[in-house]
Amino acid sequence: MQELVLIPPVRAAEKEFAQEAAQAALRREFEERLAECGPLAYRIARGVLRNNADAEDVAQEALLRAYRRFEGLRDRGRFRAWLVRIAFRLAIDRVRSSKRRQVRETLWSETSSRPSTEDLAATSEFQAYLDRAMDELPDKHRLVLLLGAIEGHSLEEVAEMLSLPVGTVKSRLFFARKQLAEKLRCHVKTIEKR
Amino acid sequence: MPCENYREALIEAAAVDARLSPELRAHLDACTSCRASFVEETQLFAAIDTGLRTAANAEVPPSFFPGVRASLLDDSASRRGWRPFLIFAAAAVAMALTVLITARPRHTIKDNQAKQIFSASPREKTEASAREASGTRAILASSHSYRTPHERNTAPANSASLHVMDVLVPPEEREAFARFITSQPGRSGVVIAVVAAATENQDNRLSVEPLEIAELEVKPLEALASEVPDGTEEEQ
Repeated sequence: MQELVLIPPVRAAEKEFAQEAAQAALRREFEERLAECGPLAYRIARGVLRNNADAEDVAQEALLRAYRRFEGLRDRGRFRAWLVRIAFRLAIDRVRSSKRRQVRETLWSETSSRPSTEDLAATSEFQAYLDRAMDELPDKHRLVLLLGAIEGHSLEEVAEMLSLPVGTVKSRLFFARKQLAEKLRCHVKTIEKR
Repeated sequence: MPCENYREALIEAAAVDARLSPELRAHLDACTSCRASFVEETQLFAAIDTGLRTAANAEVPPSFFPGVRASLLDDSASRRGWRPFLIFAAAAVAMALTVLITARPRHTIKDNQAKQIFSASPREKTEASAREASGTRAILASSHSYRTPHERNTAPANSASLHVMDVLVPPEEREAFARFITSQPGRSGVVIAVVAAATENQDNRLSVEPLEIAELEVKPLEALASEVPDGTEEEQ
């Protein structure tokens, strides 16, 4: 003979309530992480894209992905590291796709890809050279450089975010800055001569 | 222009912003050109760091957090909206599969079994004995045995399509019949069956019932003669 178990409606409602409470707790926890790491995601994207609207889009996308996988990313350090990587990756992808689009549009319209007057006015000459030099760096060097510059992160913090040894971060930072200096040295001299 | 020996050391010292080695410090005290170069390098790295910090620490626009929250809400709502639809879709697929399995024709025969000669029914067996007796080797082609894969996967349109059609082909006409069937589109299964000769094994499967003869009674001829009814024996 089979046992028939009847679930009283009160218990079902309790279960539903507990689920909702867990969801609310999860949302609250995510809100905390959002306040803490949201600006970091935005700044990484902004550092790669150098455009506010695009950076906002990319950071939003990164945070949305983080929210979807938040169950597995509840650890504070892990969340930060994951968000840094995904924001940087999305930003790099955006840059590459916009470059492809630019090449396509250039082929169609045959317009020159020189920076507009507004761009030149908005950034100083040195900053423009620096941006260009940054674009030419390998991704791993660029990320270390960006993270080191954002919010004054120490080498240890950068190493923790990227799950890398401090020595590796140090050497990448050194080579990245040296490469930038090599690219910018001649431009600095030209600017100084004027 | 810095001295060639110290050039790299100067750049590295400016890059890492570390304390200078005593040897390098002594050289800088003595060499004006290297000192000027070192100052330039230090300024360059400082400019790079400032530029990087300026670019990297941009103010977060006020629209950023509300935008993120709105996209999170949208995402949650759209995921909740998909759930009933997914349940409905799964139920529909399960129902369709059930219908498909139950409606599938059960009497499907593989193509390599299409050539069934005289083994189907007692009626065919009797026909076979008759043909054997008349010396005609025949091939029986049943229409339901040669259904194409497409036909097998679809339910029969009407019961007439399952009608068993027997084709009796004498050996001398087999070739001509095969040519005729070849000219008919979509009948390749039949052609295979017609062209292939019936194997001996299949013929051996035929069983001929032994004749049942009633018991014979053998009698001598003399006795027969005495039984002549006209009474001549009595006369002798």
